[in-house]
Amino acid sequence: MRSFDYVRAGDTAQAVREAGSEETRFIAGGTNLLDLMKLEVMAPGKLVDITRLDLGGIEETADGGLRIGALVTNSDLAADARVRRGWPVLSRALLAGASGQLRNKATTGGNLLQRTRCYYFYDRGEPCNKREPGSGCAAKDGVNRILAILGTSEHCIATHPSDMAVAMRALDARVEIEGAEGRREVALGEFYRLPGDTPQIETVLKPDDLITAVLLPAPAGGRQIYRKVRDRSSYAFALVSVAAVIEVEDGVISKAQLAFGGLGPMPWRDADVEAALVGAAPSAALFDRAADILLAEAKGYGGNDFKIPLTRRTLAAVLTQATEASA
Amino acid sequence: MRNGSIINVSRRALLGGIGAGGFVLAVGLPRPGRAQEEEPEFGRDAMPNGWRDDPNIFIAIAPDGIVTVTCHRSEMGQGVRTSIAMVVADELGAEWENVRVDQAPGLEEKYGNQDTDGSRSLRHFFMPMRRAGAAARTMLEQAAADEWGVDVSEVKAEGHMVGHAGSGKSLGYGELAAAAMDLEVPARDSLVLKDPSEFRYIGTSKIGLVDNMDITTGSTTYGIDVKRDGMLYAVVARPPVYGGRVASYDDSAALAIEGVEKVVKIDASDFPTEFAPLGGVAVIAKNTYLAMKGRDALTIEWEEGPNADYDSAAYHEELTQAAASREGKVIRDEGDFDGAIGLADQVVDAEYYIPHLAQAPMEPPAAVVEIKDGRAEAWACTQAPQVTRLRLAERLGLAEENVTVNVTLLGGGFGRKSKPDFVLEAGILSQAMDGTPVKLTWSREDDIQHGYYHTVSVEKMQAGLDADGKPTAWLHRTAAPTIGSIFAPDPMQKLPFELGMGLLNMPLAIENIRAENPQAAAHVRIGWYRSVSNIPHAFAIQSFVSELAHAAGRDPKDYLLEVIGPARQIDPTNQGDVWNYGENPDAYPIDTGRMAAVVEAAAEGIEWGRDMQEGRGLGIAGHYSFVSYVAVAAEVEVVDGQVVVPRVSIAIDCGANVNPDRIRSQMEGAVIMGVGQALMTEVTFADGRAQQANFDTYLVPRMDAAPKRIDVHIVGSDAAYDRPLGGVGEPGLPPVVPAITNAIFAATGQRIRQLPIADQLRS
Amino acid sequence: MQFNLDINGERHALDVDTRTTLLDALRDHLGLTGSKKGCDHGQCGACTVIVNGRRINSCLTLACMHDGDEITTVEGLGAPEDLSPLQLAFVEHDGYQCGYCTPGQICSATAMLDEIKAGWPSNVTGDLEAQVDASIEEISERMSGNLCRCSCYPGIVDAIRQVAREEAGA
Repeated sequence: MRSFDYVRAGDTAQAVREAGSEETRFIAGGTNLLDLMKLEVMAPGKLVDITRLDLGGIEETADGGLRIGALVTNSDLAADARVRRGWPVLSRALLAGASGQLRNKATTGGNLLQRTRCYYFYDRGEPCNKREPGSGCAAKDGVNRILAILGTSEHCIATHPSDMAVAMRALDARVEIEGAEGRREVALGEFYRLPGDTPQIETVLKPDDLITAVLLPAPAGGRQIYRKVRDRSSYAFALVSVAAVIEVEDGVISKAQLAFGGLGPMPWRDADVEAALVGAAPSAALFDRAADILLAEAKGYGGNDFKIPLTRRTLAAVLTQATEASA
Repeated sequence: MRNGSIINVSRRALLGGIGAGGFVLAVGLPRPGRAQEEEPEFGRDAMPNGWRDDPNIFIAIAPDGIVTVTCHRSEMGQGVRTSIAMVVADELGAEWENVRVDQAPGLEEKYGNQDTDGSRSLRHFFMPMRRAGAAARTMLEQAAADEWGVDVSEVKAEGHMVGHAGSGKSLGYGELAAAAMDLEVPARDSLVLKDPSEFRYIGTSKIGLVDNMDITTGSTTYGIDVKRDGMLYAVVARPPVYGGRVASYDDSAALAIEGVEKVVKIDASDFPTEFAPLGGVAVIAKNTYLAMKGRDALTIEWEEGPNADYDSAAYHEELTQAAASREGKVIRDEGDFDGAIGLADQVVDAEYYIPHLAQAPMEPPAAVVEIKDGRAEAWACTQAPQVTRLRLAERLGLAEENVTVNVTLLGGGFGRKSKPDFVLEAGILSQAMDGTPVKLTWSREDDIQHGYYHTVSVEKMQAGLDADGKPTAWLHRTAAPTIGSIFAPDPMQKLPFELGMGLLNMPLAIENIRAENPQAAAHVRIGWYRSVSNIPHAFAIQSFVSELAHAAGRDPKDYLLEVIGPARQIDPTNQGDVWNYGENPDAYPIDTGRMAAVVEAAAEGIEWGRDMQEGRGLGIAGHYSFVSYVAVAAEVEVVDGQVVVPRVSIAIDCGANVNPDRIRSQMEGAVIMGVGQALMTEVTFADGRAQQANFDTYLVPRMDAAPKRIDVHIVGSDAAYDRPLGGVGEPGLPPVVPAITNAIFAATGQRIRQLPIADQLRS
Repeated sequence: MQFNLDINGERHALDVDTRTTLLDALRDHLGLTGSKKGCDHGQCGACTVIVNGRRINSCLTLACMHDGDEITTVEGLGAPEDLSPLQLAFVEHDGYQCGYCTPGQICSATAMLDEIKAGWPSNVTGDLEAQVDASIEEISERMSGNLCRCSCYPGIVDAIRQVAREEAGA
């Protein structure tokens, strides 16, 4: 770990003031940042400790939604009675991630910003455009079984590792950001950026932008499912995951909100897939068509080719489960 | 749920008079000179420095009656400190609450062999320790008899005191200790060992580990916990490729870090590297963190050496080609394989692959060495303290008697800590600091990337079946780099002890058998990993038997029993196994009756033959290793390509039970480690470098992967205590993987021939 | 940097580099070696301690961020003559072989049982809103952050279940 200056922020304004350079990082749970700092994959010159800020609450909003403070831990968010009742897919996604110890530390804001687990990003002996722009991507022709099949570029095929963000994307979450120019909100769908030729830039955040909360709209209803396929049944990142909010009325799908993990550089959502499902009667053929649309542009890199059929099967399983007549 | 049973299977008397004719192989280590014409020695007699049973070495009794047993074997979770103490205490007639355990330093001339490996601590030291306890008991009785002026036959030691029935007098062990210690140790052949019916600890459960309290309250000292006054801390940047060397390095940035004391180049050893450090550049600092920071700041140019292109996927192909050829050395040839295969009604072929594995004990290697007045003292989590002492003395240029190796508790070993390279690194660095104590620690990344790996292997099998599905011809070609490559110029061929791990000595009731061993070069540092070559051999043989059962349209368990054949005693030397785990084939023949009994017990334990739901299946495998018999029956469920192992039944016959709790615990641990090997665990190499670094990529089973139900069946626990014991620490592992993959076949019709399973059932 | 750590009811003044992890502070600066280092990256759980009632990986947090927090390590859970219920249950159920991961297992389990009591669901909980049962499946899932290479998981699960039952009955 490189040395750094350490500042403990007393309030949000101070935190934003202390930030403002590429060299500065906010630290809260630190579970991913410190890991990367130990490996010197990240080497901020200054850490602004935001753990004492008043961002740890979950409040109900006027429109029936929730405002989740950026410092709410993954554990607290998953266990929150309101989330369990109204947004169960979010609880499920959180509980499917990491370990008990890590969920107790990891925060809502930090989870959105966690970095890819691409081996080459972690290995300083290898080229990686995300870690060292311009050095190349070793993953394309390397060990890539965990990496992306959608939204990749020739410069980067990393995946975003979060489970939480996948559920939030399916739930139409918005990110509340405090910056030098005040507060703003960004839809989670617009929060992340595709790698293109600048894979080191992952979000729309500026250096002095601090995530202060995530906003969930009123409960989406429907059947909510989070299905995660991974190497171990616990404490492993998703090879493929699906967050689904599905409603069936009179034998026809009336609502379909689907987001995918493990497939792309951001929690993946495809409006065309949802459009194909809404208004149609559930059937294996329909689910197959949905998968065709989702995977039309999918590109395997050898080691991760299996994700294409795996995604198809996983999506079909989720849609089948979500549209089954209740017992 | 932990169920189990102790099954008493009456044992046929061991057959006598089987021709011996074995010889002993000491792997790699120098052994005391022995003239060729001498009678061959076996077992404990054949180990370097043999064994001792002198009570004065192992037992001390304080005036307050506290009995201290010195354990000369390393404790790594197998419970040896407890088991050895149980044995001594029982024969001594000591009360368990007054027994303490001390750990011996590495000093084989005093204690006998201390290499804690090969599943042989109790196998080799049960009897010597009994005798030590009995001798001390006899001495206490004599001291009491002398005190009272009566004949020793009138007194009796038990319950931590000696009593005289005639007078009603009694004296506690503490009161007698001083006088007893002055007496001569009674002659070995005069000792009267207890009748097993009198045992109070041996063979009983719920004794608990002697280190219970320290473990649960966090006050144990492992190698990584040792602290000495003025101690400095070190880490080493090792060549990323096995056999690489430092071409040049720049340490200016490292030395600029405050707290970094010194940077030391450690010379790499030439091949064969044996237990020598890999070389590299070490950073010594005021704490481990600064040392690691210093290491990160080093700029090193490596000369990568001959293994820079090693790629484990390409090497798999190479092994496959080697296994396809008939050029291999013939290691077993009975009957007429070629003729029989030509006449077969059906020929079955299969090839099995096992990847490199890293032991990855929870405590990575760590040691402290300090040198003062020409004497070096080490504290280390080592499985081999005497070898450590010898190699440390050589490397530091000291006389052996000027080197002391203290053995800490080991946070797991699994074979990794049999190799003292890490202790040597600490010694070299202490010497470079003029003797200042230096703690050398390996990070997890160091451990997984610079290990002594389990060998990679291709096992090619071919069999011919007759019209009834009975195997008439059997070919086994094994291609794998040998552990011998670290001890000598790479012999490219498996050593007898590797072939004797479940390949040559698998009992097969088949007439025409041929086994061959093509050449295979080592490109990484190969070393023992729990169960060693038994892992690939059991996987191949036990999978293949199940494949043959399928080809024959037979039940896999019935077929396995038929292949094992009728109950008989086999001299392993007749199958080409001249090693036999170092044991005398007269005392340790292969007993197919015992093999069949564990298969039956494991099958019964899983309720073999019951109806299974869709996606579920049962599999079975049996394997003989470390002169014990183990069979495993596993139930699997495959959902979406994901394998779950909900239930396993494991049966072991290791002869008489000294410490049944430890047997159970070792079997449970072996089952779960095996689940990991089947499903997820492997180290791969590209450009000569290990591609895994920590537990995020080197996958070992977590609690969720453990079968929710493991039933351990201890078969043959009524075996007499004067009969030879079998091993316990390792034999549980080999049959686990094939039991699981056989169950997967039963569940899905998909045959796993390459480990780990990973994505194979997903696409 | 100077700050205080409240460990096992005792305040310790520290003056260490900001980069010092809580685990290194405990082991190297305060001599509390009960917490173990097995991976240094939050993978193995051997370093698990309880901070303000919650289990965390002490290797993945900076000591200086815990100024004033209440920290409990295995040394603070109980002494040989006064073991905590979980320490005792680990002894009774053979919840270890080599013992290296045990302090982390016991700290983790101690806080984990509180999480169950608080009604936190897990990835294997069927109904997110129902009461949680300390089943083998639940415990195995919740303890997956603690590795045991000896694989003493059956004993660990038995030990934890016994304490869960005792607490439920109390």
